[in-house]
Amino acid sequence: MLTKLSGGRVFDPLNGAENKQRDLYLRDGRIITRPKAGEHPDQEFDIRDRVVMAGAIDIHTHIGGGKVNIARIMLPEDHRHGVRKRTALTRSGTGHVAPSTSVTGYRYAEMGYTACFEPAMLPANARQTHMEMADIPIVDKGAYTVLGNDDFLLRLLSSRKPQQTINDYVAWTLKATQALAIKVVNPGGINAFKFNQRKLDLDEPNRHYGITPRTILQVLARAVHELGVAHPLHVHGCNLGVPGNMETTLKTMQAVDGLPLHLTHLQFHSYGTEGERKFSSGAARIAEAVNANPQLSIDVGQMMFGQTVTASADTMRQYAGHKHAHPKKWVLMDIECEAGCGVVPFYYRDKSFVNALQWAIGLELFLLVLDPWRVFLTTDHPNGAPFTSYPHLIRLLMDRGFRKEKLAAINKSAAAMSTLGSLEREYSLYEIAILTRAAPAKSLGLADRGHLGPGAGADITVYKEQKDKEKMFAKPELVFKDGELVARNGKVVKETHGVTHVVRPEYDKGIERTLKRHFSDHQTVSFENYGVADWEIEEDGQSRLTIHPCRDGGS
Amino acid sequence: MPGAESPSSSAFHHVTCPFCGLLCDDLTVQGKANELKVSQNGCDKAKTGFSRGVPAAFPRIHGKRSDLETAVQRAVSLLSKARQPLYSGLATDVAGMRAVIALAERTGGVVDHMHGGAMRRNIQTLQELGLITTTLSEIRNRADLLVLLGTDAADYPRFFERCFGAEGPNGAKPRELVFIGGKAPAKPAALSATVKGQAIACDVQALGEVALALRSVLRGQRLSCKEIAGIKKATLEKLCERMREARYGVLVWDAARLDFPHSELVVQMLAELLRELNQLTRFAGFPLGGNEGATGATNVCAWLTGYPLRVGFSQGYPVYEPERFSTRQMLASGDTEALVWIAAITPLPPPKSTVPTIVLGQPNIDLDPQPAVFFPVATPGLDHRGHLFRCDSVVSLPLQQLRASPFPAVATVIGAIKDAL
Repeated sequence: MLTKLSGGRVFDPLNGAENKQRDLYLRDGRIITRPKAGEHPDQEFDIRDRVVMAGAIDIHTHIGGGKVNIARIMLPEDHRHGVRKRTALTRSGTGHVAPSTSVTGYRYAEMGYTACFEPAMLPANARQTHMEMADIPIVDKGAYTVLGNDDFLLRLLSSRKPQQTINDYVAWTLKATQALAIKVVNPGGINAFKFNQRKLDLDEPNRHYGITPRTILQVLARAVHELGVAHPLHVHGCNLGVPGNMETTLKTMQAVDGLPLHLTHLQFHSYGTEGERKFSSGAARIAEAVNANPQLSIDVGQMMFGQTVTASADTMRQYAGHKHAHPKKWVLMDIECEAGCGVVPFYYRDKSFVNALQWAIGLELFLLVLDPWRVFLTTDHPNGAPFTSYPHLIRLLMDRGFRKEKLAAINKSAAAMSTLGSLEREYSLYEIAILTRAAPAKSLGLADRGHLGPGAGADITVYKEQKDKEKMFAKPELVFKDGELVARNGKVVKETHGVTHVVRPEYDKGIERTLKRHFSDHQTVSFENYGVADWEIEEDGQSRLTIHPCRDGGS
Repeated sequence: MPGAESPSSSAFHHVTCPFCGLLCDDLTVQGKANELKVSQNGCDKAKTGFSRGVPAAFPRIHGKRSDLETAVQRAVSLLSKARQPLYSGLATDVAGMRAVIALAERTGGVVDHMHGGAMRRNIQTLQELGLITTTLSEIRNRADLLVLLGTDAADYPRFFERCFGAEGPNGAKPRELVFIGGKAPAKPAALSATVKGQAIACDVQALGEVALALRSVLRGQRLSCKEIAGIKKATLEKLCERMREARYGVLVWDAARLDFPHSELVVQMLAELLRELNQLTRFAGFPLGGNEGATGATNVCAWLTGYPLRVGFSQGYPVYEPERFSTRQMLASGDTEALVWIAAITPLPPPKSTVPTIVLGQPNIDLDPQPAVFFPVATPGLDHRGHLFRCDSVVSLPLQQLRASPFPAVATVIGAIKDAL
């Protein structure tokens, strides 16, 4: 079937198109250059004056896996605010900060998002994560596997195994867990917490293994790089949420000999210790360092006011944060000698000094990091706020007047300590297209997503331009997924199923012998049953795997 | 399907056992035609489960032999008439559970598991206080002290073997086991030379008081009485000392064994005790449970609806009513007009009731009286592949198909009913 979108204003940064009027032709789920001579479209959408972008991509959103399901189970009171009735077209579901799977997919699609990436899949929980993602409709999915707190890796390091062994292990893990990238969470800290260490800075050794977070970052960043995986090591650093952690963050940036790193939810890692309250913004220095180091990319993890839940593998920091739980309940789990999980609900208040400053720090980072190709739009859903707050966040970035109005409403001392009021920058539509489409696709190595060039997957979002950017981005007029119209005016009109994106760098199978021994000596699952096989993802008849190549030079 | 069609004997390795919540996956099973026999690493439960054959069985309508199509039609007619059908039992795999939720949503039904009551005690605690928990591999590698409360873990025959496989916790201290309330096993496999054991007798119903006393002592409060629940003050103080010294301690309970009114308060007290302990050292809970696919059932329900089990769809969206939607309450109150009972793992019959019943069960399930409709179904992990969850709610494992079964999977029957509605 040939579909024509006529006359839209295209914002397609990967192809250098900024506000260019252009017709788009879609066939068999792809964008094509032009139809054959004399061929007429089977359907045509007149989208004159409309803003056209590729489908948006969320590079960091907790949409599935054990911690998300614990959040769902723990917060029944939250779900009553987000009820969706069953219709002839769509399933029912619930949830505001921790929505059910179908609601997650529908809401993303209705906002013009066509791909979402779960950034914290524990290897032992990979199977469940994929099961949940299989039940998220419409959008494409993918996950980053968490390493760096696993006893196996720490044992390799304490016995001084060569980098090649680490590389083989990382590559094996990517395959066994069906992942797109590797994430490290509080490197070594989650493991140290199991030995009752309550804090671990970049150069502090693990009590049992003697290994420091710096070493873990170095070997994992190198492994990811040498394997040729497109997305660099995805780093949730040490000392999340600790006043003064900006010093650790600055050191972390320099810890890996100039190798690329992606620093995630950096808002939570950009705190100073100035002022009466010993809590201040480190955004300026952090942004300066990001600007000066082209090998770094970040996402912000913007915090928004209201109820949410934080779900993280970082048990060490989540345990410390439990005192602020709202409502007063929290879950902590040590998991399979790999990592852990902490789920703590929070209510962020605009009148709280700390929360208000966190809000301002996130926005400062957005406005002070100059290269839009290296900063991605996230709230670390749901840790900073649920993903449904993206349209509001986009308005804060694009509309200075609106931003100042909001700044005037927050805690006065926090506002006074922030430079936000003096930042005049406003993001353009083109820059928003970079932040939310082009840059994430490029960073993740999704060659046929995030742009509107010939051959690209026909994931397309069409907006009616409005002065109120929150309204504009909340309900796009048309959303196409793989060429099919899936949402219109912010309502799902068709339920489809996206693919799961993975990478599979090659590795020396010798590592499997070592792993087999490790499994029989230490784990409680057979090595043979540990990995997630292709059939487990594809057997339901609606999920498919898309394997992305690794960079040349990858082994 | 490796080897299942071959008439000669074949061996299946790394087989996952579906017959308890521990989900051991190191079994070797010999298959000859449709006879299966565990030849390595199976406990008695596994041996019994795998040796259940494939008897001749057919769909039945009021006890009379029928065929799949007619039985599906009859089920459809019962469900279309029901205002709020009850889907219970739910002993099935992940695919079966996904299908059940879809059908319940379509028919405005209610879902509950046969172990819904036991699960509720832990989940209620999770929803009111939260919990600190751990998983099997952590116990195996780190735990130097296990305190079992109200259970000897005998329902999970390989529990101690699974816990104590590695060289030793943290490479250091010997392990210790303490049993509080309930009998200590006379000679559990666990109490080998390297594991010390101690039993402290008390009434299971008093476990909450015991946990509260331990928490008070840990907080530095003095116990003003000589004993708590029959346990001497000195014994409790000594245990506190031991818990305080543990590097990685674990509290183990089985909510199914806390079968008395308001026993969720015991679990809450254990959650409070764990919080107290973690201010000093590392300690975590390990709730045993998850038999008959319970852990998977509640997890699938949670990701599809937002809520753990006991959800109803009569409003057109999921509603969470964990008390009102219990199987017992639904059958007693007359709030349901049809019961769909699913027991695909162990042949467990539905509770007695006057509600017209559709059973999807093991072919050899003993049914008296005969239900309105009976579907013999395949056993996940023997007759078809699939997935189950381990009781720690973290690990899920693939199940293998070990033989050719004439019976459809739960997901197939439920899917056929939904398609025919």
